[in-house]
Order: sequence, then structure tokens, then C-alpha cells
Amino acid sequence: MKICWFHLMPYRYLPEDFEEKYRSVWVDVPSHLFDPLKANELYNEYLDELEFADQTGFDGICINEHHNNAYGIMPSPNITAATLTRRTKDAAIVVLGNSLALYNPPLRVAEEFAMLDCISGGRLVAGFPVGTSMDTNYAYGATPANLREKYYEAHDLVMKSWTEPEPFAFNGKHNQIRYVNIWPRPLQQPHPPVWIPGGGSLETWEWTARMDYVYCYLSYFGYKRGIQVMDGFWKEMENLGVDDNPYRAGFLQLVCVAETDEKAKELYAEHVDFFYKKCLHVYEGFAEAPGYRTIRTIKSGAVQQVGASASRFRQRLTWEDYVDQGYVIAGSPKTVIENLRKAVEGLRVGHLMTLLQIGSMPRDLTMMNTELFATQVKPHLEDMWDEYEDRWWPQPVAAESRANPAPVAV
Amino acid sequence: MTAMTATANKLTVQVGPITTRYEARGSGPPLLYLHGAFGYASWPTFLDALTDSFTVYAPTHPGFEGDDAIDHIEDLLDLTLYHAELVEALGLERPHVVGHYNGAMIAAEMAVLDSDSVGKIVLAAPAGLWQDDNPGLDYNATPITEMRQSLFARADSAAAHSFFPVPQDDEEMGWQIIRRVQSLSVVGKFLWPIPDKGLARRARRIKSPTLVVVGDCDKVVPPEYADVLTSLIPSSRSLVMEDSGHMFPHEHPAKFAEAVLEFLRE
Repeated sequence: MKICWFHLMPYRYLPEDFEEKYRSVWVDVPSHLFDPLKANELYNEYLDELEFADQTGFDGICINEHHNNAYGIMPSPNITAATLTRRTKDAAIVVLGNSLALYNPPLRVAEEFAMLDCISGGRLVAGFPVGTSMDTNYAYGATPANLREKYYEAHDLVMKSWTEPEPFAFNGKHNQIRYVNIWPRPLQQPHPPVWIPGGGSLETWEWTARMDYVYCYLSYFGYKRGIQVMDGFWKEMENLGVDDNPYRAGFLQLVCVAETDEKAKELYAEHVDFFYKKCLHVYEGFAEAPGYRTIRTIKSGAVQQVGASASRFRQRLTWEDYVDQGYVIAGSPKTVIENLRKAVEGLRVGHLMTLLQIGSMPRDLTMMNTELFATQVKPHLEDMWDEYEDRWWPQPVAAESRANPAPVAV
Repeated sequence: MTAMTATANKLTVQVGPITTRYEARGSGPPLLYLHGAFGYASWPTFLDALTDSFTVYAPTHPGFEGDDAIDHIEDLLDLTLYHAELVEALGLERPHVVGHYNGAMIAAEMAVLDSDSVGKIVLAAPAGLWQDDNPGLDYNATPITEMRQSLFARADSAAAHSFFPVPQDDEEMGWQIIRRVQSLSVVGKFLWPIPDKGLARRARRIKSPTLVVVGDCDKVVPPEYADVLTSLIPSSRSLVMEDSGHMFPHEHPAKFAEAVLEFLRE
């Protein structure tokens, strides 16, 4: 299986009384709480961590896009990815992704992804999320009623721009371009693998299956809850007559590794608490703009990850709850291996995305978590799903014939 | 014009590809009522008081009942033209148009487009304006549990409870959520994220005599917006309803109906 290292890039200097004083970590969290000098440190620290994940042998490094958000200070994952193309060697660069409907024209995404693919020698995974309601509707003003329609049209335009070698005209409802003709084209042919992060909507499952893309369920609530959703996904794949190759799916899991289970609690509890109580403190009114989800998905009972009831519930949780309920897989390497194998089998996912920097976790602890995972956990999971072929993994140029960054020595 | 009986009608009329549901009651010259965004009711009680003098037509906005008719209407021009066609399809001769919130904005846009096709217009808590320093409530970011307090001056009144009942169980709550999503996503198609789509630029073209009615406690449409509109529409005046939230046509049906009748008789 493939194991990736995912960074959210939280702003880890939120005040102690943040959740009492402010109604939301997202959308209207005032930017006077953001100290750019601290961010100078943070961004570099976080990029170091992503680079370390490459050095320690993670198969991929994952980044994503959020706006007006104090737990994800990465409005442009492409800028992050650009730095990583030069400073990492082997890892796939998994951009999860660019919210297509927000860009006008979305060709900008096609161009930037193609640049990243060329610079990295074909290591890009192109992620196309619809984007959360907070990001798209509230922060970027996108109209909920036609967000998905715009998204699908943008997708069609991007894919055609990547695969059509001659200039063409695109007469869409939301995009009219007389001369579509992007330079550069992506290195991977016909295009980089496409992964679709989602929150469990039926329409996305159907579409992902039809397009033969990877579906990534990016939940913060762990494998025990995730299994219910992924069971639904696999049932739907069966209904649609699609095979059950585990590499069709990805899942995000919070993981904390230490020498012993007790040590894990001692080292990580406060940072996990910061994540669930501060980072996910989202005002209920922003949880979902009317029209963001279809009526069909609402009726199917897909649960929202954020909002007041979810927040109130989490305010009572302790380290033991997080661990028992599977929000976090934590403990000694042995404990983590056992639970992760259970999780991966239960979820049936070939692409595991691990969140190893969590909430307020500082650099040294993150590096330790990463190293312990890479050396003592990862080797015991890699053999899973060996019998299946991963058709959704980047196909880079062979390392020996790939360009290497070669700064001129002064 | 044929007189309508006072019993409920669930009629339909074809407007291009859209099958529109409506009710029609009363007798006399035609009056078209365009409902607002919240707690949609097919025949709000204040319309009863108008049926002695007018034949009142109350259509349901496409999409409000979960239908996909809204897919045929892409933008504000489409929406205005759809309503112009609806008037033709119903065979109405220069109907007076009374609208609430988004319905009021549509009434104003119909008059912008062709004042000769309508009679007088009543704009109750009209959508369409925006002031940076007085923006009105973001009802799209207001939890469903706070809607009653946000939309009525007196959240404990029977009227407020009839529009936003306290759900008795999860199923009832689920239906309230679905109704909210259906109506607000349709309204949002034309008003998201800021309900200013250029009416202030165009309002000077309205030749129809116009009454702008606002509620003194309306959190959605600040009452100060009335003066902005009356300063733009040549033949207009405004009225401030007292002790009134955004839902004043339903909160004070008799007073609102009386104000409408008085204006239409002038």
C-alpha cells in the first residue's frame, strides 16, 4: 500500500481562550490573531516537516487548500508544492487539491499543475475537491446553487486542456474561452493521476467511479466512523459494477507514535486536544450554506464534520475517548501497527494519508513522530494490498534521468 | 377576468419549460403576490383581506418545492423574464404586484424592465440593496434554531411559531432543514453572497406607483433601505411597520393588508 504524510498547516499560536472568545476558527476568525513573524517560522518549519517526510521514505506528501482558516494556513497549496518540487526527491506530491470552481478561468489550475508536474519530473497527484462550504461559499463568495455545476464544467475544461494537443474553443456556461491552449502540458501522460477528496456525498461517489478516479475520504474522526462511510462507498462501487481495488480509495488518519502507549498520552494529548477543541471550533452557521449539499445527500444522512453540535460533543472528549473511538491511532509502534492494519482492512483503502503533525504539535515532536512511524510502523504495513495494482499513482521519469536542482555555488 | 371561488386552488400554468403552481382567489382586477424567502406558505393569511377587491394570484417560486424547474432560470434577467411570461401565461392585464423580500426585488425588476406591464407595485422588505455600514443579517449563516428570533419582532407570537415551529422530533427537524435548504438555495442562486444585483442602478426606470414597506425591527432588510429606494423611484413613498420584524406581512397580516389596500385604492 501507499502511505502519505499530510500537512494541514495549523496556526498553532491561537490564544488559550480562543474557543470562548471567538465563534469560529474559520471564515470570520479575525486576522489580527495572525502574526506574520510567527508565520515566517511556521511556514518554514512546516515545509521542513514535509521535506523530512520525503527523506524518511513516505510514499507521498499531501497538502490542501483552505481559506480564512486558522487551522489551515495554506490558501495556495500550489505555492507549497512548488517549494517541495525542488526540495524533495522521491515522494509523490499530492495536492489535495485545487477547488476548481473558485478559479476563473480554471485553466490557471491546469497550468500550475502542469508546471508542478514538469518541475517535479512527474511526481504530481492532481486533487480536485469541490471545496468545503466554508471555503467556497462563505470565504470566496461562490453561489451554492451552481457550485457543483461550475466544478464539473471546470473539471471538463482542465482535462480537455491537458489532453487535447491542438488549440480549441470552449463554450461553457461558466467559462467561455476562444483559445484554450495551455503551455506547459503535464509531464505525465495523458495526465497526472486524479484524486477527489470528498465528504461522503453520493453524487461524488458516482462521478468518481465513472471517471475512474481515486476517492479520498478526508475525515478528522478516525477509522471507526470512517468505516461506516467507506462501507457505503464500496457498496456503491459494487452497485455501479466497479471493481473493489483498494487503491480506488484514500483515507486520512491521525496517528501518534511513541515508545509506549503511556508515553504517547504524555507527549501528544495536549496537541490532539488543541486540534479538536480549537482547530475544529467552527461556528454552526458556517457549517453548510443552503444548497451546498444536494437534497439527496442530506436525505442520505451524511454527517457534517463541523458545526455547533459536533463542537459541543468534542468539548467533553478526553485523550482516552479520542483513542478508544479511533479519532487518533496512538501508542507504541506495536499498538499503532495493530490498529492501523485493522483500520486499513476495515476501510479497504490503498492510499493511507497520515496526519502526524496535529494541532499545536511542535517541530521536534513532529519529527520524532514522523521518524518513529517511518522506521517502526511503515515497514509493517507496506505489504498490504500487494496483490492489487495501483493504477492511480504518479509515473515519474526514472530518478537517474530526472533533472536535479543544481544551484550555482557562489 | 373570471371570478375565483374562495376555496383553495392548486392550479398550474405552463411558462415555457416550467410548470408553475399557483393559487388564485377573489374577484376584481388582478394582483400578483410574489412570496419571500422564509417559511414559504402557499396562501399567507394577509391575502384573504385582498380578495374582496382583487383576484389574487399567488404562484410558488420555481424550485421552492424541491422541483428542478429552477435549472431553467440561470440569472436575474432570466428570472425577471420568467415572471413577465408568467403574467402573460396567466392572462393578467397589468396586475398590481406585491412582493416580499426576493419577491419584492422581482416585482421591482419587472417594473424596471417594463413598467407598462404592471400596475402598482408594493415592495415589502425588498431585497436588492446593500450598505457596507448597514448590511443586514446574514441569514445564510444563521443556524436554523435561531431563525424565529431573527425574523420576527416577537419570536414567541403564534405567527412566529406557525412559521418556525419547535420541531418535535428528528424527522420534523430534518424536514425543516430540507425546506430551508430548498428555499434558500433557490433564493441564493440570485442573491448570493450579497443581495445587491444592481437594482439601485436601475430603479430610476420604475414608472409604476410604488409603495415600499419595511419593518422597524427587520434584521434582514434594515428599515433605512426604504429611503434609498424611494429616493430612486420617482413615484414612490414608504411606510414603516411598527413592532415588525422581517416577516411583518405574516406578523401583522391585517395591518399590512390594510396598508396595501389603501395604497392600491389611491
